Amino acid sequence: MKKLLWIVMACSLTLTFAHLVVFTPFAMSAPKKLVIATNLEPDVLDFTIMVTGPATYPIGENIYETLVDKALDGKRVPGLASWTVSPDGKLIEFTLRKGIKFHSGDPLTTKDIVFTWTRAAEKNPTWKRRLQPINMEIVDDYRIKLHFKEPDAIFLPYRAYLPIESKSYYDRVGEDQFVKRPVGTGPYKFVTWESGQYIDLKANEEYWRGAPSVKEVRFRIVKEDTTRVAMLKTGEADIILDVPWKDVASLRSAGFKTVTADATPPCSIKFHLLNPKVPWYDKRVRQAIAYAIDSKAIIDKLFHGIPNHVARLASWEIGYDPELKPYPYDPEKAKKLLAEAGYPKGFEMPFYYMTGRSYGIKETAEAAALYLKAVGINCKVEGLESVKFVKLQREVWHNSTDVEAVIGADPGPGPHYFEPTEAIDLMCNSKSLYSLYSNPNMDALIAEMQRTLDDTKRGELIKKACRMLQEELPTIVIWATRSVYGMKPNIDFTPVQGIGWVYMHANDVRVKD
Amino acid sequence: MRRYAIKRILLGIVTIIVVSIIVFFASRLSGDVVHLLLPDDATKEDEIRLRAKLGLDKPIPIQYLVFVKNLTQGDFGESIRYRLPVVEVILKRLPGTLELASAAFLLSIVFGVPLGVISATRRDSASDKAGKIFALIGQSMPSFWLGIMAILVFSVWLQLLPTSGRGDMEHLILPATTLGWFSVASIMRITRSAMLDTMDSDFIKMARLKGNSERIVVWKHGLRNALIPVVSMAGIQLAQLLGGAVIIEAVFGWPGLGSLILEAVYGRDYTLVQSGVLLTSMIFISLNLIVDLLYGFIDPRIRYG
Repeated sequence: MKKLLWIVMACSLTLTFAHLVVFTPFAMSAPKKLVIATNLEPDVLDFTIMVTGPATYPIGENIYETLVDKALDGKRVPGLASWTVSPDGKLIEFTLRKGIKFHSGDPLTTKDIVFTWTRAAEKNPTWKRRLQPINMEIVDDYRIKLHFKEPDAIFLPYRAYLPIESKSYYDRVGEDQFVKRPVGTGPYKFVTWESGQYIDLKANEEYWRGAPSVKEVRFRIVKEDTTRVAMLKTGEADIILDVPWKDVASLRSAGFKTVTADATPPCSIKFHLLNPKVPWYDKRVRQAIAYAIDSKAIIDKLFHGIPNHVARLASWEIGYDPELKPYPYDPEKAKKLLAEAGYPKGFEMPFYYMTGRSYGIKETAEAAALYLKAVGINCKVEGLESVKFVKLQREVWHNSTDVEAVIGADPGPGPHYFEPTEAIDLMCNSKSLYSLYSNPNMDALIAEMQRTLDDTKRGELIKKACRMLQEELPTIVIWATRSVYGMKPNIDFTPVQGIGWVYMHANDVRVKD
Repeated sequence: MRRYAIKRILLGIVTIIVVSIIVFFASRLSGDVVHLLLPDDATKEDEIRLRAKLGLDKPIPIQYLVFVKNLTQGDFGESIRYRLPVVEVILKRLPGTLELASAAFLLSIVFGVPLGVISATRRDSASDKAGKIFALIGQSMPSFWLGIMAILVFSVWLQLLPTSGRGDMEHLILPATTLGWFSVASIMRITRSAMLDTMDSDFIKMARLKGNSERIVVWKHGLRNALIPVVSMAGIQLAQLLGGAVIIEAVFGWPGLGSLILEAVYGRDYTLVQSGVLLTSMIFISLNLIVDLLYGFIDPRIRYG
C-alpha cells in the first residue's frame, strides 16, 4: 500500500511537471495588451465620488480628461477647453473645443461641465465648499462663464482639475451603471474591472487628439513590491509603477529602463509653534536643527539618492528661486546657534511621526533624531498611527498653546504639490487645520497669493514667502519624493512632470519592436 | 443525535451574534474613518457633514441597532470606500478565496495524511525523518518568505510559473502550495500522533492476532480510528485557510477575502469590515459545526454525550 502511495505521488508530480512544460509556452506567451503593474487599486473610477485620489488618478486619467491640462514639462495648457481671465480675476470664461465626443457617443458640451461640478458638490462636502463661491453661467453649448466672488489663484491649477463626465450618459443609464461603467472623453475606454486583479482599457479610436498607438492596456493590481519587480523581470509586466527605491539600481543594471517623476508626499520636520515656552519657539534653535541634519546624506545613503533635495520648491514650480538653497550640513554652526539661544547642553524634544502611510517616514525620523543627538538634542521618537495622528493634529495641537510637539517626519503638503500657494496655505496659514504655526505676515502674504491670478506676479509673492519660510523655519524640508517607473527596454514612456500624483498616461507609451 | 445537533447549532448562532457585536464596536473605537476620507484642505464643517452623511454622528449603540435592523432586511450596507453594496464586493472576492483555500486544503490532506501514517508506522526510519523535516520547514518558515522564495525560484529564475494573479492552473500552483505547506505540516503531525496512539491499542493487537495483513491493520483499522482528531484539525485548517490567507494573497496578488478585509481595516471601511468579518465567522462556525456533526457520525460514543 505504501509503495502504491509513493507511485501515486510520483506520478502526480510528473504529470504536473509535464503539464507545465507542455502548456506553459501557451500560457506565458505575452498577449498584445500592454501590461502595467500598479500597487494601488482605486475605490471607484468616478472622480466625483472617489475617496482616495492617489489610487484613482493613474488609471482614471486615461478615461477622463480635464478642462485644463499639463504638458509633459508641467506647463499649464488647454485641455478640453481654452480660457480667458478677466483683469480683476473675478471672471474666467472657458471655451470648449468643438467636436469632442464621450465614449458613449454623446457630444461634450458645457452642460456636462455643470453636471460634473454639481455632482461633485452633491457627493462631497469638500467639493461643495470649493465650488460654492463660483457662479456658473452657461453662455452656449461651448462657452461657460465662471463668476467668482473673490479671485481664486488656486482654481485653474487645482480646483478646475475635475475630469469631466457626461450628463447625457448619466441620464440614460442611471447611477449604478454610471459608476460601474465609466465613460469619459479620454484616449482609452473602460472595458472591465476584476476586483483585486486588473482593470482593462481599450483605445478610443475617435480620440480627438488622435487614436493612441497602444491599443489595449491592462492595469494589474499587485500590492506587494517584490512581486511587482519580479513581474518586470519575468516579462509579465511591461511597465511597473512605484519601483521600490532599493531596487532601482539593480533593475537598471539588469537592462531595464527607469524614469522618474516628482511626486508627493514630501517629508518635512514640522514644529508646533503656538507654545512660547518651548525651546524651538526660538528661531535660532530651529535653524540649528536645520544645520544639524544632513538631508543630502539621508537621501543618498538611506534612499539611494532618489528623492529630491530642495529648499522649498522644485525647479519646475511657480515661484522657484534658484538663489534659495537648503541649509547645508554644519553641526558646528548648529551647536553655536544652540548655545546662543541658551541651550549649550541641548534639550529634550518629542519627535512624532505617522506610521503606516508613507514610505520612508519612520527611517527619516530616526535618522534625524540621530543627527540631533550629535548636537545635544535628545529626541523622544514616537510613532503614531495615521488616523490618531491626523486627529491629534487637527483637533488638539492646532488649538493648543501648551502642548510640546515636533513632528519628526511629516508627509504634509510641501514641494511637488499642485500649486505652491496651496501647499504654503495648508502648512503655514494659521487658519489651516494642518498648520501648527501662526504668523500674521505669512497669513497676509498667503491671502495676497490666493488673489493673484497672474503667474509671474504670484511667482514673486511665492518667492517672498519661501524666503520667509527658510528664515523662520516652521517646517524644514528634508526631501521631496520621486516615483520611479520601471519598464522593459523596448518601451518608451515619459511621465508628465509637475502634477504631484503618480500618473500613468498610457497614450504616452510607445512600444518599439 | 438530534439534541446534540440542535445544541451545537444554537451555540453557533450565539457565537456569531457575539462576534458581530465585538467587531462592530471595536472597528469604530479604533479610529475615525472620516479623517482618512477627507482631502488635505478639508475644514471642520466638511468633517461634520461627512460624518453625518455616513451616519457616524449617532452614538455607537444606536448605530449598531441601525445595523441590525438593516441586516434583518437583508441589507448588509454599502462599502464606504467602494460605494458598492458590501455583499457585492464580498461575493466578487469569494471565488478567489474558495479556489485558493480548497486547493491548499486538498494538498494538505493528500500529502499530510499519508505522510503522517508513514511517519507513524515507520518510526525513526529515513522516511520518518524526511517527513519530520518537511513538516518543520512548513511550520517554521514565514509564509511571506516562502512565497517570495517560490516566486524567485519558479518565476524569475526558472521562468516556469507566473509570479502572481489569478487565472488558470499555472497561477494556482505556487500560492496553493505555499499556503498548503503549513497545513500539510499540521495535518501530518496530528495524523502521526493519532496513529501512534491508535496503533498501541488492544483492538489493533487483536486485529493482527486475527491474521490480517499489516496493510489492512494500518489503513483499515488504524487510520479510521485515528481520523477523529484529524477531522477536527482539518476542519479548523480549512476554516483558517478560508479566512486568513492574507499574506499569500498579498505576495501573489491573489484576489481574496483576506486582503479585502485587511485593507478595509486599514481604510476604516467599517461596513465592509463588519460584514466581512461576520461572513468569515459564519463560515468558520458552520465548518466547525459540520466537523462536530461529522464527529458524531464517525464516533458513536460522542452522540450520546
